[in-house]
Parts: sequence; structure tokens; C-alpha cells
Amino acid sequence: MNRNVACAAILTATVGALVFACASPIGDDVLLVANDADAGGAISPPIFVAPDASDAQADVDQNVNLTPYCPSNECPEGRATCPSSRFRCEVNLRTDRANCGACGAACPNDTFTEIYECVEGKCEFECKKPYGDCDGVADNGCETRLDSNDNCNGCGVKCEDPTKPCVQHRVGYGCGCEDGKVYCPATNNCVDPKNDDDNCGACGNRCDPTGGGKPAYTNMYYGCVDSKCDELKCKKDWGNCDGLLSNGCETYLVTSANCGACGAACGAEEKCRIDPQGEGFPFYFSKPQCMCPQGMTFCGSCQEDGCRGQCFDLSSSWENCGACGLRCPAPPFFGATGGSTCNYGMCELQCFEGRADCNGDAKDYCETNIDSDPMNCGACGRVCDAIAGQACVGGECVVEPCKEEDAGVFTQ
Amino acid sequence: MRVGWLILVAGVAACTAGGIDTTGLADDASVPVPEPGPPPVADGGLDAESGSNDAGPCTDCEYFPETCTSDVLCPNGPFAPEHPGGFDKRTRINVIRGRSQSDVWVAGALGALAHFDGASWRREDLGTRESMRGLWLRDSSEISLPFLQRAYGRGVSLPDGGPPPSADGWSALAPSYAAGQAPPGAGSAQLVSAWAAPGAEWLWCLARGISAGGIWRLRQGSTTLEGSAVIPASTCNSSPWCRFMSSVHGASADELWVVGESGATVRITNATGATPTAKEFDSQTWTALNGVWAASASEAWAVGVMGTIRHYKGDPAQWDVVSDVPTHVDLNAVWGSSSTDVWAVGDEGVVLHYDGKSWSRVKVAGLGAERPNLTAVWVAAGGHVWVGGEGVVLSLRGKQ
Repeated sequence: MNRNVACAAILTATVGALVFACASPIGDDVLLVANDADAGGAISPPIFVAPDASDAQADVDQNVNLTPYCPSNECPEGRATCPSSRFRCEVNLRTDRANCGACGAACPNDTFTEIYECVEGKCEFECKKPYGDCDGVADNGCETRLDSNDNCNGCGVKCEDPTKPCVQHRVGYGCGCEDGKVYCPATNNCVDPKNDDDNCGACGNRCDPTGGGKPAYTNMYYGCVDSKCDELKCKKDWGNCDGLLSNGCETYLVTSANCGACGAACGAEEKCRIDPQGEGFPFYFSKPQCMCPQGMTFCGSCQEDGCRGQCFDLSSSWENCGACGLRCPAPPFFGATGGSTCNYGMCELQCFEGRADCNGDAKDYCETNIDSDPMNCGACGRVCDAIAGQACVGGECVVEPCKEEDAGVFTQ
Repeated sequence: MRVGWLILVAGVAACTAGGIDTTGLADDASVPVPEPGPPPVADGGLDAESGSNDAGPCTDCEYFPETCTSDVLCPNGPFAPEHPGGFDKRTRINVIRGRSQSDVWVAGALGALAHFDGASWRREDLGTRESMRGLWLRDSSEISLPFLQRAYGRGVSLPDGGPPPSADGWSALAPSYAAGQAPPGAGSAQLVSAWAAPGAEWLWCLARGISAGGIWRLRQGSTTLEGSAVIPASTCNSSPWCRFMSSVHGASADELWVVGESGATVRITNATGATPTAKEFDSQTWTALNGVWAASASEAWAVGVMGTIRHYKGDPAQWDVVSDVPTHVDLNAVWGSSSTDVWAVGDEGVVLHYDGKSWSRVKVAGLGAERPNLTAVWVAAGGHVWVGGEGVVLSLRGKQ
């Protein structure tokens, strides 16, 4: 239970066998796969047998495009058995960072600015954000920051207007602020001059909440509206629902009848709560909202001033799987072989490709390397033993074109 | 020698249907290609099991007939659409318990709880979508547990202090634990098994997580459910088995077995006393054991991954290996009514029965191409078995 392995290898093996059988022109009963599975449990190696030597020879001759395959104890091209290998032919010299192109030829460790990968047997690097390789010289890696006025989000992209320096955008960097905001050099950030009480109409123009001695109203203050100070505004979570100035912002907006806005009533199954991660994030700006929609469950805590939390689907939430706070096991930070998923309210171990949990122990996750282990090749218990030394590569027992034909029996 | 004809027959069928398909034929390059043969199995090789939960042309059809007859297991449970308002097909049944043939309970994912009264099923509204993992059927009350910090009870004369009862009268309960003996948070260790002998004072509970776990027992106190750790956390954390147990069962309230990862088999004696004693036995396997059922003080069965079955026959130190198991899939649960009527269930729709002499496959009808993983089993009496799994509850037709 809860052991997930990649099925592709098994399917591929089956398809391969079918193709081999179909391709034979000898007839429906030419190619057999002998599988000795007697009561003793011993499994004989698969061999490809023709019932009649002359027929088989003739048929093979007629089909020069067809290649019979036999079990092999050699490593396929690009694979090797290195000193660090646990299994034969385990290392993929094309992609293994520790053995890139040759055993022991390790790619450099990742640096503060570069990530190294083995691509087709050669170590290549990729720049970490916000760095770039602007001079094209591999030896100095990613030497240029791409968040400066000389190189803003790209090599050579300059920000020449002093009022529009290189600043961070929602995605990457750009010259000047987004969405009508203006850049304030003193605080080095972008502000909304239309509604920002601390930067009203211009950077640093802070509104006096008393309006300089103007009349005070319940749950109201004087702030910035349309770039002008001294405009009356409701305090957070309060609303002027009756439109009267005399009683100020009289309505609390964290109720089922007025949730986040005047008249915004919650459904019968919902309650007005505050989502700290929701609209208005971070939490001190967060806006009340009706929670939770049908099929979702509120996970959070309630105090005298209300409930704070979020809605989760307990059927699929990894951190609230089947119950609030019931977090599915996280994979180890290093050397992870699998993780876990929430499958209709139950956590399940999910092995990474090429791994499987053959012993059923959750504590060692997906301990078996079914990509390379000849005792568990492609699946738990699937043994590569057609000939001595047959390796497992990519979850398949290694074969190669047969080297000779002997009386209709294609074997090594 | 037994020659495997499966691949040849399948190949012929493919040729007939679509002519010669050259897809996948390799040139002379020496590259890994699919192994041209059925995958060898580690041992035995007696099965022709499907490797998929959604098999096409099946290799195990003989065990999954279309028609339900008296000697095969058939769907019989609270799943929609047969039962309007029943469980969603994606629901996994985690536990089945009962008091008799006409008093059977199943519980599972996302608040699933249902009762069979001998004639029909009725879904119970627990008032929660929490996944249920344990059931405690007391003489006049029922308790369903999602995790060790919460329970839902009906007929329990305890103040709940929480939200009002559900439409079906289930109240949320918050067990209290002795100082320093509280289980870790639900996010650290999940309830995996709970069991109590009929009429017993204690409900035994196993919780397990990557970094935390252990054994606790609960009982009804005067004002709440009272819990305590059977093995102190400091001892449990240093134990090779204590934090990784999967199943608990006993032949009596005072002596029980727990089994778990790495083949752990532990007998707990003086279970009703103040200081139960645990002794580890040799199961002769390192693979995980998922289920245990005790037939008597001197006999028990344990089942686990890759068709592992172990039989305890009274030896002072070890369990016996069972080698004639007719499956290699993971076995998840075991139960019985006597030493000659034991049932085990596992992945891919596998059900096994032991008749006192050997284990054999039991047919399951009405599943179509589905091969659901089966996760729970309970036996009311000889031949009256209930099996639960992913989207299915099964019983022997005519023997409910």
C-alpha cells in the first residue's frame, strides 16, 4: 500500500515483447518467452526460441531489418560503472554531475551566482537571479548583477531617467515603478500617491489624521484620497454603511451581515473571518471575507476579536490532509527519494521517478533505486538475471542485438 | 517447468488486430531496450497479477468474475450511486468494526462513517470532514477517531464543551492526557490503528510519523476521555520499533500484539494493568508488517508488504514464515473468526483466505476493470466477512 512506482518501464517492457513477437514472420508460435516458474520458484532466463532451426534461419534472413535482442552484461552507450557506483552501469555520464563525461569528472559546486549541470556529458552553468553572464566568458561565470541601472533585467538594459531607476517588479526588474506608483528615493520603494496616507500626492507627504483640528467622528480619521490629505476615511474593518456622517463609521465589517463591505452578507454555511494570507496581505491590511465555500474547511484559530485562518480542501491539501493541521510527511531536505501527496483526505507516499518503496517502511521513504538495482529493476522484485552480470538501466534489464545465431536459438 | 504463454498470446492478438507494428524496433545500436519477457518475480511466481489498478485485458480475470455468486465477495456498502447520499467513490475505508452480523460500522476518509443493521446501510453525519481512522464500539456508545487529540462520540455521557452535536447526534470530544504523556500534534504523528477488546476499559491506539509516534491508550473518564502513553516518549524515541507501528490486536484485553515497520512484532502483556510490558519477537522479515490479528493467546497472524505473511504459533521468541502465499502485492489488513477462518486483504483487489491448512485467493465480483487497494477487513463470524478499501465495501453475497 502506498507504494507508487513509475509504470512506464513495465509498460515499455511489455510493448517491447509484443513488438518482438509481432515482427517475427515465422508464425504465431515462433517466439516464446520461457518462464520457468515451478513450485520451487526458480526463474530461468528468458531466451528467444524458434521451434525449427531451418525455418527460423530462413525467416530471419528474409527480415533483414529486424533485430533480435539478447540479454547483455555490457553497459549501454553513455553508461558506466564508476568507483562510486552501487550498481553496474548505474552512472549516466551524460547527466551525472559527479561523473560528467567520465567517472570522477565532477561539475563544480553551485556558487552564489551559478548553478552547474551536466548536459550531454559537459558541465554547463546557469545564472542565478539576479545575475547574468554579460561578458560571455565562462571562466568568470555570471559576473554581472541584473538589478542595476546599467543592466536592468538584462545585459546592457540601462535606466537613464533618474526618476525611474531599476526597481523590482512583480516579475523581474524594470526601469521605474509599476501600476501608477512613484519611486521614493528616501525609502527606496514604490508608493501609491493617490491613497497612501504617508505619501499623499508626493513622496513623504504625510497626512495629519486629525485633519489639523477638524471635527472627529466615530471610527474615522483624515487621510489621503485622490492624492489629497484631510479627507475622511473609515478605520480598518469599519464602514459608514448608513451614509451618515454624524455617527461616523458605525458598522463593524467583520460580521456575517457586513463582511468586508457594507451589505456583503455571508451564506448560511459561511462565517465572516479574516484570512491573513488573503486580500490585503500582509495580515494587518487583510480584509474580512466570508469563509468557507462549500467543500472547504476553515483551519485557523478564534479569539475574542474574531477568527483568523484560511479555507482548505481537506481532500487535497498537503498541509491539512483529512484534518486541519494534519500535514503530510515532508521529504528530507537532502537526498529526497520521494514525498507525499494528499489523495482524497489520506496522505500517500509518492516516490520520485526511478525510486520505489519496496520495504513498506515510511521512515526510509522510497529506499530502492528501481532505475539501477538489478534485483528491483523497474519494479520491486523484478530481477535481471537472464545472464550473469545483466545490469538494470533506466528500469530495464539490459539487452543488446544478438551476437550469433545458433540452430534457431538466439542467445549469447 | 511452467512455460509462460502470456506474452506470446498477447503478441498474436496485437498482430492480428493491427498488422505488424514496427514501433520500437531498434536498429543495431546497442541501447537499452525493453526486456522481451515477463518481469521475473522475486519468488514463487504463482500469480499472474495485474500491475495496474485499471487493467485492460486482465491477466487476473479468474479472480474477478463479473457475476456475483454466493462464494465470492461482492460490492455491498454505502457507496454512491447504489446508495443515494453515500460515500464518494474516492473514499478510502480505513477501518471496519462490528458487534455482530447485524451491527457493522465502516469509517474512512473525509468524515465517512456508516452503519449496517443487518438489512441496509445508513450513512452517519459526524458533522466534520475529518478523515476517520479508528472506531471504538462500546456496549452502549460508539466513538470514531480522526486522530489522538479528537474523537466523535454518540451515547457517550461526557460533557463536550465544543460545538453542538451533529444532526445524527455525534459530539466532538477532546481527550485529555496525563501530564507529559500527550501525543504529538496531528501533523507530526497520525493515528494508524485502534483496537479494544469487547467490553474492555482501554482503547489501544498507534500513531506514527516520520519524526514522532508511539502507543497510547484511551479510556472513558468521569468528565472526558482520558489518555496516557503506554511507553514514555523518551523510551519510545530510542526504541527501534516503538514509533513505527502499524496495527494492534489481541485475543484478550490483557494481552495484545502490535506490528509495524522493519518487520517489528511486539507482544504487550499486562495490558490492562498500570504498567504493561512489551517484548519484541523475531518475525524473520525486515519488510513492513501492516496488519495483525490474534486468534488466541498462542496464535496470531501478521501480514505486510510484497505478500508477506507471518504466523505466530506460541514460540517464545519468533514467528513462523509462511511461504505458500499466493500473491506478491502488499497485504494491508488481516482478521478472522477462528484459527480456521482467517482473511487478509491487500492492494489490487487481492483477498486471501486461510482455512486452517493453506492460504488461497478469494474471488471478487462486480469490480469491472477496477482493482482497488483493499485496506480493512473484519469478520463477524465464520464466513461473514466485510472488506473495505478505496471506493468499495465487499461482503460474501448472501452471508451478510
